Amino acid sequence: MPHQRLRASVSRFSWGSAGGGSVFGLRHAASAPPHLALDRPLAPHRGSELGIGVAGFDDAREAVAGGKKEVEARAASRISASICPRTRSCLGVGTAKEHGSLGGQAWRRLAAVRIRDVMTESVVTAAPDTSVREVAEIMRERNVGSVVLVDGGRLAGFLTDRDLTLSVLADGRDPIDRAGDHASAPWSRARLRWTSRRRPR
Amino acid sequence: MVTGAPEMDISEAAALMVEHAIRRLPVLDGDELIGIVTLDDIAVRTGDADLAMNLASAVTRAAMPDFYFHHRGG
Repeated sequence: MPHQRLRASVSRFSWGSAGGGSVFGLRHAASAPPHLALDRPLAPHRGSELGIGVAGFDDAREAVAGGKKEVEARAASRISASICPRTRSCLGVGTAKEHGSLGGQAWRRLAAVRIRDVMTESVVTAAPDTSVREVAEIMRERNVGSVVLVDGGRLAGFLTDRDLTLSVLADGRDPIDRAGDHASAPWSRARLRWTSRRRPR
Repeated sequence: MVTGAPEMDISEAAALMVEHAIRRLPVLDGDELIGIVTLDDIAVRTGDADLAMNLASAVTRAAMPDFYFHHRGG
Protein backbone atom coordinates (compact mmCIF):
# COMPACT_ATOMS: atom_id res chain seq x y z
CA MET A 1 0.00 0.00 0.00
CA PRO A 2 1.49 3.33 -0.97
CA HIS A 3 0.37 4.88 2.28
CA GLN A 4 2.23 2.33 4.34
CA ARG A 5 5.33 2.75 2.26
CA LEU A 6 5.25 6.46 2.91
CA ARG A 7 4.92 5.91 6.63
CA ALA A 8 7.81 3.50 6.64
CA SER A 9 9.93 6.01 4.86
CA VAL A 10 8.96 8.73 7.30
CA SER A 11 9.97 6.75 10.33
CA ARG A 12 13.12 5.41 8.77
CA PHE A 13 14.48 8.73 7.76
CA SER A 14 12.92 11.54 9.70
CA TRP A 15 13.34 9.89 13.01
CA GLY A 16 16.43 7.99 12.16
CA SER A 17 20.07 8.69 12.72
CA ALA A 18 20.35 11.85 10.62
CA GLY A 19 22.25 14.50 12.50
CA GLY A 20 20.75 17.85 13.31
CA GLY A 21 17.11 18.72 13.01
CA SER A 22 15.15 17.36 10.16
CA VAL A 23 12.52 19.04 8.13
CA PHE A 24 10.47 16.55 6.22
CA GLY A 25 13.44 14.32 6.27
CA LEU A 26 15.72 17.03 4.98
CA ARG A 27 18.76 17.52 7.09
CA HIS A 28 19.43 21.05 8.09
CA ALA A 29 22.04 22.88 6.16
CA ALA A 30 24.45 22.79 9.08
CA SER A 31 24.92 19.09 8.67
CA ALA A 32 24.75 19.10 4.89
CA PRO A 33 27.71 18.17 2.79
CA PRO A 34 29.63 21.31 1.81
CA HIS A 35 29.46 20.77 -1.90
CA LEU A 36 27.91 18.24 -4.20
CA ALA A 37 28.15 18.31 -7.92
CA LEU A 38 25.17 19.35 -9.93
CA ASP A 39 24.17 16.35 -11.95
CA ARG A 40 21.47 18.03 -13.96
CA PRO A 41 20.62 21.61 -14.78
CA LEU A 42 18.17 23.27 -12.46
CA ALA A 43 14.82 23.44 -14.14
CA PRO A 44 12.03 25.84 -13.33
CA HIS A 45 9.10 24.43 -11.45
CA ARG A 46 5.74 25.93 -12.18
CA GLY A 47 4.19 27.97 -9.47
CA SER A 48 6.46 27.04 -6.65
CA GLU A 49 9.08 29.42 -5.41
CA LEU A 50 10.35 26.92 -2.96
CA GLY A 51 13.08 25.12 -4.74
CA ILE A 52 13.48 21.43 -4.35
CA GLY A 53 16.47 21.17 -6.49
CA VAL A 54 18.82 18.72 -8.05
CA ALA A 55 21.76 20.34 -6.43
CA GLY A 56 24.08 20.46 -3.55
CA PHE A 57 23.95 23.10 -0.90
CA ASP A 58 26.25 25.54 -2.69
CA ASP A 59 24.75 24.95 -6.10
CA ALA A 60 21.28 25.44 -4.80
CA ARG A 61 22.21 28.58 -3.00
CA GLU A 62 24.06 29.97 -5.98
CA ALA A 63 21.19 29.19 -8.29
CA VAL A 64 18.81 31.03 -6.06
CA ALA A 65 21.18 33.92 -5.46
CA GLY A 66 21.67 34.14 -9.20
CA GLY A 67 17.99 34.86 -9.70
CA LYS A 68 16.75 31.37 -10.39
CA LYS A 69 14.06 31.35 -7.81
CA GLU A 70 12.64 28.10 -8.84
CA VAL A 71 14.40 24.85 -8.90
CA GLU A 72 12.86 21.46 -8.97
CA ALA A 73 13.89 17.96 -8.25
CA ARG A 74 13.89 15.70 -11.21
CA ALA A 75 13.34 11.98 -11.10
CA ALA A 76 17.00 11.20 -11.45
CA SER A 77 18.06 13.53 -8.69
CA ARG A 78 20.74 12.39 -6.33
CA ILE A 79 20.67 15.39 -4.10
CA SER A 80 17.92 17.78 -3.42
CA ALA A 81 17.71 20.98 -1.50
CA SER A 82 14.94 23.24 -0.41
CA ILE A 83 15.47 26.94 -0.43
CA CYS A 84 13.52 29.68 1.14
CA PRO A 85 13.01 32.23 -1.63
CA ARG A 86 12.73 35.16 0.72
CA THR A 87 15.86 34.80 2.75
CA ARG A 88 17.63 32.87 0.03
CA SER A 89 18.80 30.48 2.64
CA CYS A 90 19.03 26.80 2.14
CA LEU A 91 16.61 25.04 4.43
CA GLY A 92 17.86 21.60 3.92
CA VAL A 93 19.80 19.22 1.78
CA GLY A 94 19.55 15.50 1.51
CA THR A 95 20.00 12.69 -0.91
CA ALA A 96 17.11 11.45 -2.94
CA LYS A 97 17.42 8.10 -1.21
CA GLU A 98 17.15 9.74 2.16
CA HIS A 99 14.13 11.68 1.05
CA GLY A 100 12.50 8.51 -0.09
CA SER A 101 9.00 9.28 -1.14
CA LEU A 102 8.90 12.17 1.28
CA GLY A 103 11.20 14.67 -0.36
CA GLY A 104 9.30 14.64 -3.59
CA GLN A 105 5.79 13.67 -2.78
CA ALA A 106 5.10 15.34 0.54
CA TRP A 107 6.51 18.63 -0.65
CA ARG A 108 4.81 18.27 -3.96
CA ARG A 109 1.53 17.57 -2.26
CA LEU A 110 2.04 20.70 -0.24
CA ALA A 111 3.09 22.59 -3.33
CA ALA A 112 -0.23 21.83 -4.95
CA VAL A 113 -2.14 23.71 -2.28
CA ARG A 114 -2.18 27.48 -2.04
CA ILE A 115 -2.31 29.44 1.17
CA ARG A 116 -5.56 30.89 -0.13
CA ASP A 117 -7.12 27.43 0.04
CA VAL A 118 -6.38 26.74 3.68
CA MET A 119 -6.28 30.15 5.30
CA THR A 120 -8.86 31.55 7.68
CA GLU A 121 -10.43 34.58 6.10
CA SER A 122 -12.36 35.92 9.04
CA VAL A 123 -9.39 37.25 10.94
CA VAL A 124 -10.11 38.55 14.40
CA THR A 125 -8.41 41.92 14.65
CA ALA A 126 -8.02 44.71 17.15
CA ALA A 127 -6.26 48.05 17.24
CA PRO A 128 -2.89 48.16 19.05
CA ASP A 129 -4.41 50.72 21.45
CA THR A 130 -6.98 48.21 22.70
CA SER A 131 -6.31 47.14 26.27
CA VAL A 132 -5.05 43.66 26.90
CA ARG A 133 -8.14 42.98 28.96
CA GLU A 134 -10.38 43.81 26.00
CA VAL A 135 -8.27 41.59 23.78
CA ALA A 136 -8.74 38.75 26.27
CA GLU A 137 -12.48 39.34 26.09
CA ILE A 138 -12.35 39.24 22.30
CA MET A 139 -10.52 35.91 22.55
CA ARG A 140 -13.26 34.55 24.77
CA GLU A 141 -16.09 35.83 22.62
CA ARG A 142 -14.66 34.77 19.30
CA ASN A 143 -13.09 31.60 20.67
CA VAL A 144 -9.64 32.30 19.21
CA GLY A 145 -6.15 32.04 20.62
CA SER A 146 -4.64 34.99 18.85
CA VAL A 147 -5.79 38.41 17.76
CA VAL A 148 -4.12 40.23 14.91
CA LEU A 149 -3.33 43.83 15.69
CA VAL A 150 -4.09 46.16 12.82
CA ASP A 151 -3.15 49.81 12.99
CA GLY A 152 -5.13 51.77 10.43
CA GLY A 153 -5.12 48.95 7.92
CA ARG A 154 -1.48 48.11 8.52
CA LEU A 155 -0.41 44.93 10.18
CA ALA A 156 1.07 45.76 13.57
CA GLY A 157 1.56 42.37 15.21
CA PHE A 158 -0.21 39.59 17.05
CA LEU A 159 -1.35 39.17 20.55
CA THR A 160 -1.62 35.52 21.48
CA ASP A 161 -3.01 33.91 24.58
CA ARG A 162 0.58 32.97 25.32
CA ASP A 163 1.64 36.60 25.13
CA LEU A 164 -1.07 37.39 27.65
CA THR A 165 0.28 34.75 29.97
CA LEU A 166 3.99 35.40 29.62
CA SER A 167 4.07 39.10 29.01
CA VAL A 168 1.07 40.37 30.96
CA LEU A 169 0.23 37.88 33.70
CA ALA A 170 3.69 36.63 34.60
CA ASP A 171 5.03 40.15 34.79
CA GLY A 172 2.05 41.31 36.82
CA ARG A 173 1.14 43.93 34.26
CA ASP A 174 -1.93 46.08 34.28
CA PRO A 175 -4.97 44.83 32.35
CA ILE A 176 -5.41 48.28 30.86
CA ASP A 177 -1.99 48.09 29.19
CA ARG A 178 -1.96 48.68 25.45
CA ALA A 179 -2.19 45.42 23.54
CA GLY A 180 0.45 46.74 21.14
CA ASP A 181 3.01 46.86 23.93
CA HIS A 182 2.67 43.15 24.60
CA ALA A 183 2.28 41.91 21.06
CA SER A 184 4.45 39.27 19.49
CA ALA A 185 6.98 41.51 17.91
CA PRO A 186 6.70 42.67 14.30
CA TRP A 187 9.92 40.81 13.72
CA SER A 188 10.38 37.10 13.71
CA ARG A 189 10.67 35.47 17.07
CA ALA A 190 12.92 32.82 15.67
CA ARG A 191 15.87 33.92 17.72
CA LEU A 192 13.82 34.25 20.84
CA ARG A 193 14.73 31.01 22.49
CA TRP A 194 12.40 29.07 24.65
CA THR A 195 14.63 29.65 27.63
CA SER A 196 14.54 33.42 27.41
CA ARG A 197 10.96 33.90 28.39
CA ARG A 198 11.31 37.46 29.48
CA ARG A 199 11.24 39.71 26.53
CA PRO A 200 13.15 42.94 26.45
CA ARG A 201 11.00 45.99 26.21
CA MET B 1 6.96 40.46 10.44
CA VAL B 2 6.87 37.20 8.56
CA THR B 3 3.84 37.12 6.28
CA GLY B 4 2.44 35.03 3.50
CA ALA B 5 0.76 35.81 0.19
CA PRO B 6 -2.48 34.14 -0.91
CA GLU B 7 -0.95 32.53 -3.98
CA MET B 8 2.05 31.20 -2.14
CA ASP B 9 1.94 27.45 -1.91
CA ILE B 10 1.79 25.97 1.52
CA SER B 11 5.09 24.17 1.22
CA GLU B 12 6.57 27.63 1.28
CA ALA B 13 4.34 28.65 4.15
CA ALA B 14 5.48 25.55 6.00
CA ALA B 15 9.11 26.34 5.24
CA LEU B 16 8.69 29.87 6.57
CA MET B 17 7.10 28.54 9.73
CA VAL B 18 9.90 26.08 10.27
CA GLU B 19 12.57 28.61 9.49
CA HIS B 20 11.26 31.30 11.78
CA ALA B 21 9.87 28.95 14.42
CA ILE B 22 6.39 30.40 14.15
CA ARG B 23 3.00 28.79 13.91
CA ARG B 24 0.92 31.44 12.27
CA LEU B 25 1.34 33.52 9.22
CA PRO B 26 -0.78 36.57 8.44
CA VAL B 27 -1.74 36.59 4.78
CA LEU B 28 -1.33 39.90 3.00
CA ASP B 29 -2.61 40.81 -0.42
CA GLY B 30 -0.40 43.78 -1.12
CA ASP B 31 -0.72 45.69 2.13
CA GLU B 32 -4.14 44.41 3.00
CA LEU B 33 -4.65 41.70 5.58
CA ILE B 34 -6.92 39.12 4.00
CA GLY B 35 -6.46 36.12 6.21
CA ILE B 36 -4.32 34.10 8.51
CA VAL B 37 -2.90 30.65 8.06
CA THR B 38 -1.76 28.59 11.00
CA LEU B 39 0.05 25.34 11.45
CA ASP B 40 -3.27 23.87 12.49
CA ASP B 41 -4.92 25.06 9.29
CA ILE B 42 -2.27 23.33 7.23
CA ALA B 43 -2.53 20.18 9.29
CA VAL B 44 -6.30 20.01 9.47
CA ARG B 45 -7.37 21.39 6.13
CA THR B 46 -4.99 19.35 4.03
CA GLY B 47 -6.18 16.26 5.90
CA ASP B 48 -2.76 14.70 6.01
CA ALA B 49 -1.90 13.26 9.40
CA ASP B 50 1.69 12.33 8.59
CA LEU B 51 2.32 15.74 7.21
CA ALA B 52 0.79 17.40 10.22
CA MET B 53 2.94 15.38 12.57
CA ASN B 54 6.12 16.11 10.68
CA LEU B 55 5.38 19.77 10.31
CA ALA B 56 4.50 20.21 13.95
CA SER B 57 7.63 18.44 15.08
CA ALA B 58 9.77 20.42 12.65
CA VAL B 59 8.44 23.74 13.95
CA THR B 60 8.87 22.65 17.55
CA ARG B 61 12.40 21.53 16.90
CA ALA B 62 13.18 24.85 15.25
CA ALA B 63 11.76 26.69 18.25
CA MET B 64 13.67 24.59 20.75
CA PRO B 65 17.07 23.94 19.22
CA ASP B 66 18.70 23.12 22.53
CA PHE B 67 16.07 20.69 23.60
CA TYR B 68 16.89 17.04 23.20
CA PHE B 69 14.26 15.21 21.25
CA HIS B 70 14.40 11.52 21.63
CA HIS B 71 14.87 9.85 18.29
CA ARG B 72 12.50 7.05 17.74
CA GLY B 73 14.41 4.06 16.50
CA GLY B 74 13.72 2.29 13.31
